[in-house]
Amino acid sequence: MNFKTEPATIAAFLEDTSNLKNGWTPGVFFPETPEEVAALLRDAVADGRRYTIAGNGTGTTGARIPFGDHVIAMQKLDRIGEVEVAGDERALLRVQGGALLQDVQAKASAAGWFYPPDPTEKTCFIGSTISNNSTGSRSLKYGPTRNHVQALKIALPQGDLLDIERGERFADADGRFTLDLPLAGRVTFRLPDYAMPTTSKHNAGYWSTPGMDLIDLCIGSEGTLGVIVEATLLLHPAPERVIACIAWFRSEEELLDFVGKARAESGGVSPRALELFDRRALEFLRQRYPEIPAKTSGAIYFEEESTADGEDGCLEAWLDLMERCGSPVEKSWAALDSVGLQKLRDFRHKLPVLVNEWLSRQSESKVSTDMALPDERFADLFRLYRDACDREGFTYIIFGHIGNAHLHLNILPRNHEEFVRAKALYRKFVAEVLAMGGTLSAEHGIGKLKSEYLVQMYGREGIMEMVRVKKALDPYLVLNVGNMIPKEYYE
Amino acid sequence: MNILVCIKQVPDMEGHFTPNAAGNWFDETGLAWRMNEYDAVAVEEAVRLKESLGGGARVMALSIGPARAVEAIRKALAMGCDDGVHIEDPEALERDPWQIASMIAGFAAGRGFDLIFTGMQSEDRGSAQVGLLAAERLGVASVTGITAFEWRDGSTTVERELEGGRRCRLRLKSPALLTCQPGLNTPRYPTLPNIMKSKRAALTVLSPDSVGLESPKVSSENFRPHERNAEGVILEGDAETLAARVCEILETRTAVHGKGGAR
Ligand SMILES: Cc1cc2nc3c(=O)[nH]c(=O)nc-3n(C[C@H](O)[C@H](O)[C@H](O)COP(=O)(O)OP(=O)(O)OC[C@H]3O[C@@H](n4cnc5c(N)ncnc54)[C@H](O)[C@@H]3O)c2cc1C
Repeated sequence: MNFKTEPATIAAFLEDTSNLKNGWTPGVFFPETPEEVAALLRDAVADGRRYTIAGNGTGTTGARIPFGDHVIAMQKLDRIGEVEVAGDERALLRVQGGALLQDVQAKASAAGWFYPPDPTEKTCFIGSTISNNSTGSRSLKYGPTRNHVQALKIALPQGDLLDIERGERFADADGRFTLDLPLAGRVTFRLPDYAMPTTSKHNAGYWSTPGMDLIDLCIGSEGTLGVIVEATLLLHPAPERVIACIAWFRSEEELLDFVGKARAESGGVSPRALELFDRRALEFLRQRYPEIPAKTSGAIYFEEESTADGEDGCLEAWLDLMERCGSPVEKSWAALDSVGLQKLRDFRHKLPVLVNEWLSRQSESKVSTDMALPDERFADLFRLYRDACDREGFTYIIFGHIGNAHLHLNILPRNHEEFVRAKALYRKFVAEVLAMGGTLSAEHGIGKLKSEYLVQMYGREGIMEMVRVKKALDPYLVLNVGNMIPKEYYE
Repeated sequence: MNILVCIKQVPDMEGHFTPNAAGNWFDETGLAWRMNEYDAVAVEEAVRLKESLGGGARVMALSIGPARAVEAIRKALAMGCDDGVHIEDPEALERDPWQIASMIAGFAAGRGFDLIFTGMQSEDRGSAQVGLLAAERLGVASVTGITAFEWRDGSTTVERELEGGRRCRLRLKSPALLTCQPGLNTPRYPTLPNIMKSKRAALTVLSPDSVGLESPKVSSENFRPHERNAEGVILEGDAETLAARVCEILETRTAVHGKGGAR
């Protein structure tokens, strides 16, 4: 196993896409086998080390940035197995935690199968997407990563390697898990006692539902309960056809009406993705895509899976819906083939990239939200963000997964005074979204940047419930400390 | 005004290529198919010209290929071409440029096309000959690899890029054939209504013989997929050993040393 301390080599491990500064580490380990990961953790207390796990650095919350901890870099654990057909329209694919998501998807697709989770950023590691329960545009139909993980091999904080197969270890009637482990001995704890929001996407704090599967506690735990060294993923048959289209709208009300009707499958449509670009987001994209129609109040990108026989009917249903909602269909951008689809997805991906590029040239950071409301309240979330930002006179964009009532608001402060006001507004939004039954983070997770707001969401008691679970599995606090749970709650 | 665009359906070049049974070209199984990127540029330019002329101009899209090539023709129609012609030829993939050009010329002869647009080359075969051979056979002017196009009063002005970023402008009279390359324009996204119209459009289907298929002049003998470079080596040892090993490798396995270079 390589261990690097040269500043030039380890500098990259002090960053992700969060802009969080001042991280530092004594050195980075590059384990090549699950056993090497486990051995690092087993010896952590004796070696006087804490570890932060590093994926590929596309996270947005500073989660992989160490503040004095050693780093476990996952990149050498990148093996991808062969697709195994498992019957009843399912196949399995075993991968190591440091495999690139796009390589995993390519492997599945070369064999005629399909791994649905599709965070917009494809250069992330599969282990990170599991530890963050990542979602993407297709989560409207397929749900989050959680739904597509059949088994995990996880290196626990005391050095045990645990295999967890879905359907084998459930919380008992009292909400308790009990594990007998070779190194840690008997570990027993009750689920965190709190209610989770009813949003369709949620990635804030430990998962907790009555009688739940242990694997679901690990998924979304942001690397605080163990290192995901291997995963068995559930694949679906690749859809025969996919249609994709961008529908433009002349008014925001027509756009919201379209989303409501599409969600309700009006006229027989059945979207697997419904993504918003608001007017301001389109202005951003126009620098690169001058062909965006003028006088547009916003756009919806949608996808639907279809078959060769069903495709015509599917196209007609969408055309009819677009016309009913006042979308200028003669301006739409549509795709039926892989090149066209890729071009439309690139357009979607370009938005956060352009925003981040623009920001890297500004003196102030953006203030961005990852909150979601229960699905049917998508329009409330849009209006909440829009109206407040208009009142403040901010430069901002709203985009993202409107089908799941999950919108990214990016406020782009022009000076420090605006940044301070934007931060204050963010706090207000958190309070309002939580009061409306929403979640603080639908997909990016909490990491280091948002832990103070997690306290706002669950209160001190809720955080202490998480501390209890964390300490049961990681009594000496060696792994990803400072992520999700604010450090002071361990004292 | 009568415009013809010639398009080819090619495999997605990201796909996994293996030699066919005869070993002389690649095997089609498992590949995804789409319109050749250069041809999409040709279609876009033809449609832009038609639109700039208002009514009265028609664009015909022609593709030679097996049954699946219909998808590429429909894509061209969805982008704004008016008519689609399919020369149904199950063996098109393995034909040499001369044969393809013989069919294009055979079809176009006597049909009064003012302009013919083709892609500069196909992504899979990359011969860059088809357009040129067809122009020769038709006896019309041609320019290859255009990066700018203007039509005014029956005369065409085009630009080509030369080596080192130099450019030249050329003028020619129709009838003419132009081969197009990326940079000329950005192909549009088809609209949903146009996609639906294209799916319903009736295509003209012709056989290779009816348009004068000729015998090949060149045959493909062997196809090899991309071969990865030799694997990297990891050297170990102290700085001096490492430096000596690097020099040895440079001397024995590369052309870096011994040519008035480092030593
Ligand atoms: C342009 C852009 C678009 C994005 N779009 C989306 C989106 O649509 N949906 C979405 O969900 N996210 C999105 N993200 C966020 C990000 O891509 C995901 O959170 C992703 O899962 C992070 O992967 P990574 O490998 O880069 O992880 P890193 O940033 O390196 O690490 C993230 C966290 O995972 C932990 N971790 C890494 N590997 C492991 C492991 N093997 N075991 C346990 N813990 C581990 C780290 O400690 C850290 O806490 C986007 C990011 C960008 C920059």
